[in-house]
Amino acid sequence: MQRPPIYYRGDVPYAIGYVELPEGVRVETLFSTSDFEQLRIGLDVELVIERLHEDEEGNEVLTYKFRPVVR
Amino acid sequence: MILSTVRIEKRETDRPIEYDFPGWLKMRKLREVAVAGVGLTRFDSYDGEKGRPYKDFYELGNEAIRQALSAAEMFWPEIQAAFCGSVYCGTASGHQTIARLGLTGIPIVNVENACSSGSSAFRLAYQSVGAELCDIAIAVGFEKMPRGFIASTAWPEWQRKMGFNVQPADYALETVRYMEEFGVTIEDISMVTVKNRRNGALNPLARFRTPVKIDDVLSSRMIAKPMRLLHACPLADGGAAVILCSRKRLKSKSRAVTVAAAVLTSGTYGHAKGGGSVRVHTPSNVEISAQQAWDESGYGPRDMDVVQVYDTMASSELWDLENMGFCGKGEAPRLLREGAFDIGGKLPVNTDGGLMSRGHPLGATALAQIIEIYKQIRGEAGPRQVPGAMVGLAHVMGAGSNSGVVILKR
Repeated sequence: MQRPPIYYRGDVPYAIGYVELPEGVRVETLFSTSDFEQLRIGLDVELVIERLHEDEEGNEVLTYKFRPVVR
Repeated sequence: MILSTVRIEKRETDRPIEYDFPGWLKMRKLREVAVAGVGLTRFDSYDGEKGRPYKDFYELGNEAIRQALSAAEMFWPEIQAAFCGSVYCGTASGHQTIARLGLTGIPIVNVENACSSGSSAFRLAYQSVGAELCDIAIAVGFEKMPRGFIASTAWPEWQRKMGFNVQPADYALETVRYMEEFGVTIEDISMVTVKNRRNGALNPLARFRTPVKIDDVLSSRMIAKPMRLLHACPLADGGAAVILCSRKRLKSKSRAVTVAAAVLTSGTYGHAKGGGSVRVHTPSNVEISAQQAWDESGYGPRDMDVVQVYDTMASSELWDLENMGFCGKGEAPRLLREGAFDIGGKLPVNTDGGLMSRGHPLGATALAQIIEIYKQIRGEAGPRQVPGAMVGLAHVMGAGSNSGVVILKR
């Protein structure tokens, strides 16, 4: 997404997609990467916990994300 | 029926498990229901700015109802039930609309089913007359749209805060998968916009009535890669109304149009928005709704003379045509290139310009699609008329998810 939709206060642009876990469950997720061009179907990714945004009181709101595995 | 089987792969070595959903049993046969009259406002931005008139949703709904009554040669007190589709107009919006026509005490039901609200309202009106609960019912759709990206509340708050469930992004994800799976190009997808905007130029009620070239589409602003601004339908305000009645109550029986099917389905587990597992293979919402419409009407895809498909994003027109069985998976882009979906082609699609030209007032959109089919099979579509059209289908999707299919015949 190039612009932030309403309710979303994280970084823009941002990338979302689906990750298929080895057990067969499909998860919708944000991707942690600055290189959106590398994202493609079939890419290996790993789980990370990162900042989504800061709330009104200055607290960090954390979220799960996936990032491409560096080999 | 093949579609009532769900296949679950436990592991690659295991045999799939099959079982039936009893909820997919066939609907009871209804009596014949005719379209008595239709009404449709021009879809536009009625915001009172830049010389445009200001109109609120109830004025737009009202305008459409009055047109439909006049076309049906009926008076408001004859209407026995009203089903009013809208999404962003607040509580009792149907009542507010109808209060300006006459307080006759009839049941008014407000129908919010996202982008498929109008189709859902139509189906309820159809069932009321078809099941002989009444003889004359009206389906109304209207909307005064908020501006910008639609703030969908169709999913939990945490998902919205994560930036999920933004329509262009959701469709972008599906589009990337579609392009990868079938070797479809962004040029193929852009041709949907080109075709629909060309058709829209023939529709005086469309919001956009100027054709665009493929380069215009490909150079428009990127919204969610690979989808650009001209791959997305514009918003609009508008109103639409369809009066349904028993054949006996038709004032004019010449060129009578009847309802052959009105189907509504919701999502199935195993598809992206149905959540779940990549190992569960269920038919999609669109596939189920199309199959039910074929079963209910006795028609098949080859019988359709004209079709309106939900082109909220350009790519969805292509895969929806495939999922409804009009062609094989991945074949729609080639047929589009060959002109099969043009007015004058083998299967004209979105003859009035679709959402892409009309604009998208959520509550009214599906009824505008149904009205285009009605006009086509009545031979009243003017310069965009499909010669000899006798049977047509209108298909709409909605967040939830919903898939609505209506087939009209003469």
